Amino acid sequence: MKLRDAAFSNSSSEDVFALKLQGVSKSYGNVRANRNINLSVRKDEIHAIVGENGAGKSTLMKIIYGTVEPDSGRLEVWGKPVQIRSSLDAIRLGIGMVFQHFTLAPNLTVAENVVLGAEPSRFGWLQAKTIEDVVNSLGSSFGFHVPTKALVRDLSVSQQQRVEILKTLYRRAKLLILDEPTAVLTPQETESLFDIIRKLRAEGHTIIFISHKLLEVKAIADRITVLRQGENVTTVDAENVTPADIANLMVGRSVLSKVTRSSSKPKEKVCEIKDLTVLSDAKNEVVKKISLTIHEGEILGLAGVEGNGQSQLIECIFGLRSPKSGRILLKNCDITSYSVSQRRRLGIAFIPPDRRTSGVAEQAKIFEVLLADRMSSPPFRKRMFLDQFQIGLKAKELIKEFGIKTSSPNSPVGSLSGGNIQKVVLAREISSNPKLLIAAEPTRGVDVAAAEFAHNRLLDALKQGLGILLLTSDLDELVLLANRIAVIYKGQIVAIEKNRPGLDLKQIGRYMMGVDRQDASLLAQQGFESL
Amino acid sequence: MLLCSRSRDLNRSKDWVVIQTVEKNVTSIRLKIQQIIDNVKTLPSNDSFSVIVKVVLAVLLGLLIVYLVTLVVSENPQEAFKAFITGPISQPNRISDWITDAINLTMLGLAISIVFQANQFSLGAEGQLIFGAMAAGAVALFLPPFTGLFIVGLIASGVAGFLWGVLPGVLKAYLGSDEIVSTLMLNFIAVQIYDFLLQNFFMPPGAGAILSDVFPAQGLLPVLGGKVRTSAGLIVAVLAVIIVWAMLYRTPYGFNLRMSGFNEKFAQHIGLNVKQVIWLSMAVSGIFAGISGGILAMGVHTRLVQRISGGMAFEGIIVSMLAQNNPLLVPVAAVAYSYLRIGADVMERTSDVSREIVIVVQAIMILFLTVQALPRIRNLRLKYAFGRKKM
Repeated sequence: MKLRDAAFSNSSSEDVFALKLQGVSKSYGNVRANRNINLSVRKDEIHAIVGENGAGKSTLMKIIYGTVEPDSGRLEVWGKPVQIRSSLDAIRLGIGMVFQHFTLAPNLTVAENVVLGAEPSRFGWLQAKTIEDVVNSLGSSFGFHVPTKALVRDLSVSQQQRVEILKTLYRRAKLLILDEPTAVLTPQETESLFDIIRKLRAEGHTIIFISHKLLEVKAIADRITVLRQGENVTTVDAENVTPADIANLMVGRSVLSKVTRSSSKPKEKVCEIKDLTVLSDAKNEVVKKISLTIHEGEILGLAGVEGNGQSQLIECIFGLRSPKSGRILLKNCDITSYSVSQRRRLGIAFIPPDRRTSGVAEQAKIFEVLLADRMSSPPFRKRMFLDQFQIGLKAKELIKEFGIKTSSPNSPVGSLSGGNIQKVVLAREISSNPKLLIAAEPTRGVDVAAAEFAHNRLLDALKQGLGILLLTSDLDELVLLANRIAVIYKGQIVAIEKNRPGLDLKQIGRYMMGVDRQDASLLAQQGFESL
Repeated sequence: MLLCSRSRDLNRSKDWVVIQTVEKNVTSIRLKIQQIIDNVKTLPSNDSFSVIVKVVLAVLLGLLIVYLVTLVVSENPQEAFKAFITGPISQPNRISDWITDAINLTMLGLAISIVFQANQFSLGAEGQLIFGAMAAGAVALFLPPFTGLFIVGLIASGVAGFLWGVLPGVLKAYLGSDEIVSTLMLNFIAVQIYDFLLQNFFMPPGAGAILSDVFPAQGLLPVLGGKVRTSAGLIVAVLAVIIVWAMLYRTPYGFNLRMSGFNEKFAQHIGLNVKQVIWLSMAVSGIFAGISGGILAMGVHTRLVQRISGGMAFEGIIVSMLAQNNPLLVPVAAVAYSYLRIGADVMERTSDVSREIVIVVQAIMILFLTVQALPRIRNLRLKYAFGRKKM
């Protein structure tokens, strides 16, 4: 408490920085995660920190939050030099952190989660009523409404995020660090989060906002610090830069932020889904009578808040899950009852959303994973044996073509970085020459350059006349790539929009949240109409 | 590089074609060499080096503790310990015992390494071994003797092991039964069937002990060597090592097996029939356990006896773990481990310390190895605790 009082006594002066880092460095073995970082966050500002994956953002945040100790450098909080050795120190200094992956107890109520670890008690007894009152008043003072009695597991993602923020506020945090807070939110939810953030700033809180969505950063931040390869490149006022400037600073070269989407003409149907109904593991109907058509040379984007049946839908199209009713046609051939390998042979490829767990086997070697889907067929199979020479040749070719950074095709896949693992999956799926490519979250968790690479690869593949079903939670990506956007809500397609300049994203957001839906006849027309 | 720059200058000359072919050949040869180097690099890599260090440490620590224990329990600890350490190589017949034991452990280690690479914790080698022995006995005793009868016996034992592996495999793959439980229970069933058949069919009428007749000479494995001798099982084991290695690393079947062992979800995504891989891995593993039973019956006991396996199948698990499920390291581990077994045997016979002392070494090795295997076992438990995802 003493530390804390000392810290706040100084905060009246205007020049005082909420947080100041000087020459902070941290290495893990040979990898220098942070090099000589200088960062100053003014009091009462929203300070965005942007950078690609691996630029050192998370290490820096861990240093500030005390979970990692820097090798060298000085930290000042509220104008006082400090050493933060643990997150307890950080909390005592008024620093609060909202992690990207929430740290809530799903089986406790909202109120219990907020006070967990610092419960108000009387003679050692918890009082549910007091706890709820405390949390309620805390929430309303910042204009949040959270159901304090509800169990956390019943809340939506955005509500859970608010609980996380309340947790830090309850611990009297004045400096809040939000790690990629918008990654899981719809446009509307993002907006209301921004309202909360602005409100917090008005109440005298300082916010560090970590993100790689540049439009948002531009919209919310007062100042922006750009990290690249462990160094801070610069800090700029948000007013004076465009998103493209920030992107260039992040990557260190100018990026093609626009990919060229070919305006394709009406073409043949690649895949038709007719009245598909799919059950979840718990035997609920999570996909209800969905009909969709994907054409040659087209990217059909599938938008929706996670958990609305989209993962079961794509699993069903790929053959990992059998439908309850309905039919799937690939080039007019009914494949509803086919196995995954039969579908693969007919030309369906799949980039799974969770690449580390289902796209690759981490202990397997790179060449094995690259060609895993075709090892049993020529030219890689010679009679009953594998043709090591052909396999090696093809693997080297793919590694070169897709720019996979590795010392040898014999290294285990697990030794690659996330971006390179993603390239391995892309290389395998695209090089199988599919007719229909199901791409689920093809750029989740990869940096700007790798995402750009993936986008261009997908668009290149498109030119060969395949159809792509793109499932992504990143609306920007959807708008960038898709020709048409279908919105799924509670297992039904509620809208299909052609992607055109000036498309109203908020309308898409309303569809995603089930507030609005297209007329059934219009939907049917959009669904089957060619471009 | 040199060729490249020169070829650009000679672009239009008539030498161009020659240089192009040379270049092509050089590239393909270079690729081939690179590939060989890559392969060599990945054989016993630095990773398996650390494994070997660990294993050696475990054995040394075990021996130290054995020494301390003999100091306490033995009248003549020096003698006893010497018997343990030098016993297996002190006499030609003991060397023979050592080799014979190593052959069987190799076969069983191979069987286990196949299922473990498929990430199936099948413990059914015991039952498969017993069925293998029984099949070999049936062939040797009931078929009319002819030259090469023992080969038929070995094949029959492999088939019997295969079939006794299909059962738990299919139970696991299509009915979702736990392979640990089902294989252990099937082992008991196999023992009972064996005993029943031994007493009612194989045992000659009026015999004083529960034994079958000695097999006819054609039904016995040929003996190799002179003073130090062993059976043709040695050749079978060497072949088996090569076959298992080639199967796992050079055939599509082995590729599928390893991929589905690494990550079942991944295997489904690339279109493998995971259920088939599961039951087939357990069945193919049974072939090698079964043949090991055939070698025991036709090469060691020369007849069917009660408790023919002597719990050896479970030693196969230790051998496979020591070898990190790598078929090429299995014989190495088997030779080392059988040395300890025979050493303990000799010690029991020549001193006042019982052979159970080897269990101490075993326990310490298992401790060392399971510390390493812990993450895998933990995953397994989680899998059971939270149920499996539908396949």
